[in-house]
Amino acid sequence: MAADVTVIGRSSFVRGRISGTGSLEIAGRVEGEVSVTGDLSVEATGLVAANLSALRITVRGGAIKGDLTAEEGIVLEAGARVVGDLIAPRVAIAEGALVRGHVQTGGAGAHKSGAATKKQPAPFQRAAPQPSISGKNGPVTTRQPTATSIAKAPPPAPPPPAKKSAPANNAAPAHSMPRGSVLAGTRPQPNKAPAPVVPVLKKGAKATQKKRA
Amino acid sequence: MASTVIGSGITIEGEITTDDDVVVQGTLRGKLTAKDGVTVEAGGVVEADIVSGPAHVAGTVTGNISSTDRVDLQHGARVVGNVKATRITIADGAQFKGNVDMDV
Repeated sequence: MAADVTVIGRSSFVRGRISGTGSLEIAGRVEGEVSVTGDLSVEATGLVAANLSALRITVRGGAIKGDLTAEEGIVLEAGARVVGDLIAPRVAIAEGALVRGHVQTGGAGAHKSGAATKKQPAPFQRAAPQPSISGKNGPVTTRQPTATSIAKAPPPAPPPPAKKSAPANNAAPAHSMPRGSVLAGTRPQPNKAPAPVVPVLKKGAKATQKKRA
Repeated sequence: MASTVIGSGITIEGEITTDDDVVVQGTLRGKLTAKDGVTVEAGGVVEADIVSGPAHVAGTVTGNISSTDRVDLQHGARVVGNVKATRITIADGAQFKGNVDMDV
């Protein structure tokens, strides 16, 4: 057993790609990509900036930035901090664990190959909007960035009538609310009035379209 | 087990930097820098320059080995590259091609 277990010690730093058969225990720092066929555990001292793929992933603590994909299950124990998506047939998140990202459970075989290919471009694009979300919501566990972005997506598509309602939807997280209200108050009739709002929404719409693609 | 172990079946392509011991049973390509000892076990493959404390090699190393302490090439070792260390042993049955610099 010991022969099959790979350990990244707490004072070790690995930059690059870790792949192969067997299990992996990360107590140090890893940057790059991790793909193993056995169990993967991240200890409390682990710092990971990589997409992780394994049979089972157990996060006992530490911080991970990247997507977690497991063929059987993912367990996040108290103290775990994950910024990235979780994809596995079964996902357990203990009280005290922090997750910021999309969670997908169930549907064993179907999403694995499909999700793996779809997810790869996602983290890089999602990385941009996340800091602003994190700044406002703080350490609170947020799993709805994609949900809200999807909810925001429809408003930009319809023409002017929908725009007044659109800023209302965006009111909580975005700065577009004051702009929208001022514009609505000063120049409600001209078509040019909402123009500044449109690019803002379009940016969001493009971003969500990219996310979806 | 504070040390870092690369198990058999595992391949690391990249750079490892550590203050611990490193035991290589699998494959490492890139660069290995350890303040403490490095052990390449039989079956282990290192295609990288190694900078370390005491190094014990029973597997395959392609690359230069630079040790602040000693380098032991054990039976079954296969090393292609230059070795720089204060003390070097080459066991019977070890294959070695390269220069030796004992830094006297």
